[in-house]
Amino acid sequence: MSKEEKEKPIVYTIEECQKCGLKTKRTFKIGDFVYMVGELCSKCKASTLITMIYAESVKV
Amino acid sequence: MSLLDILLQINPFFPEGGGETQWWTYLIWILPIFFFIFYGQRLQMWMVLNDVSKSIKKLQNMKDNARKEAIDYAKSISQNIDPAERIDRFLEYFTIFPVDMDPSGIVPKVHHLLRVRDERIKAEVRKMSPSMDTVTASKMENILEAATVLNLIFKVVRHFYLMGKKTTSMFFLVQLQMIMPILLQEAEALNKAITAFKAGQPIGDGIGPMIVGKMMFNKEKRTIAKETVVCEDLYNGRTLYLMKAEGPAGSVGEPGTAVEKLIKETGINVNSIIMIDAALKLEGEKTGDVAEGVGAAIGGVGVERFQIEEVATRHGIPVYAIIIKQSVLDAITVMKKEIAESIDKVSKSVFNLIDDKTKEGDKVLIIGVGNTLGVAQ
Repeated sequence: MSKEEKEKPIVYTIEECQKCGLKTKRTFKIGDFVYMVGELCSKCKASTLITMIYAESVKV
Repeated sequence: MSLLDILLQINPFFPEGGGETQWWTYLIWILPIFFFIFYGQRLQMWMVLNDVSKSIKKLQNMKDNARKEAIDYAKSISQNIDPAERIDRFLEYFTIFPVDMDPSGIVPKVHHLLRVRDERIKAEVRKMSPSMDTVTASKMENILEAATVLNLIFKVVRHFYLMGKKTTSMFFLVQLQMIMPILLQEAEALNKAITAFKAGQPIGDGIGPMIVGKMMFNKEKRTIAKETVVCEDLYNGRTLYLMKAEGPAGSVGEPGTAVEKLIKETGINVNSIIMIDAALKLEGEKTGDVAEGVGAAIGGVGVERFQIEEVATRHGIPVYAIIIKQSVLDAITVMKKEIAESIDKVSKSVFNLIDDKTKEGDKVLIIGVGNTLGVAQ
């Protein structure tokens, strides 16, 4: 990695639909926590559950 | 062209003609030898001092940043107070550990001391805003703890640096220089951890509670010890007791006391204990790797581990451990993808362990050890 290329972590929230199992990845919002009810599923409109919050490094 | 030819070309240091060497060419060679004999160590000390002072500057920046973050967060909680003075006082807060000349019976003393310290921290945080909710209070506590450790690292390093300078002792300074990379690594980890604490994001150490939290989801939970919850579940004819710190607040709970209470007070005859925790990886090992073993997988001062080992030994309960490997930095900063994705692998290991090591009708206690910030149940 060159000196200019630095890694920056971006935090994502993974929401899993309780009905159809669809997993959605979005950027973390303050107030999110694991096993919290998330937004409605984009496919079946059922409620989702936040199953993971993690950081991924991206080169900037 | 040979080496000698090259050397002979570098005039006037190696003049041609052999016998006509000028006196000052000898001086050029001899003077540095005497210079390094008399001033070599001073030169080396100057270089070490320079190196250490650069690291101290970095530590100071991190310490100041942590203090600023703590003040800013306190201000965001309550606009009515100026928390700077209170936080500065808090950063100097210390704990005197019990005398260990006669170590018998020291664990309850340490346990008592840690409880007093914990309660004092909580009371100080509450004073900032009495209406503060538990999660916000725990975030503030975690930030203050990180800032206190950074302050302590800076002060200890500065102490040895100044001592070395004052006594012109190379040994103080060289030892400091040798351990500096590790200290800087830990300080950087603490500095980065503050961002995660402020946002309430799960940290690498939270993988144990995250795995057990998934098993506990949608089940009736009860508080068994301070900030520690437990619930029951059934699996292949076994009764599972699932235990973790109560999230999503940033707490590790009191699993040692909780295990004591579950087994001693409620009289539940647990047949096996499975502990899931984050563990420090060795250099070269991969983050998120899972390993199995035996023994109480729990860090900290050792009080909780002592309590669990004591109960397990007294009742002859085997203790199995599953660890998720990570570095110091990974453990206290936002959970990495590799760590979060180990959840299925660990869950599989847990159920394999239950199937292999226990029989139908057995009672198995599964403990998710670690800071449960940003992880509910």
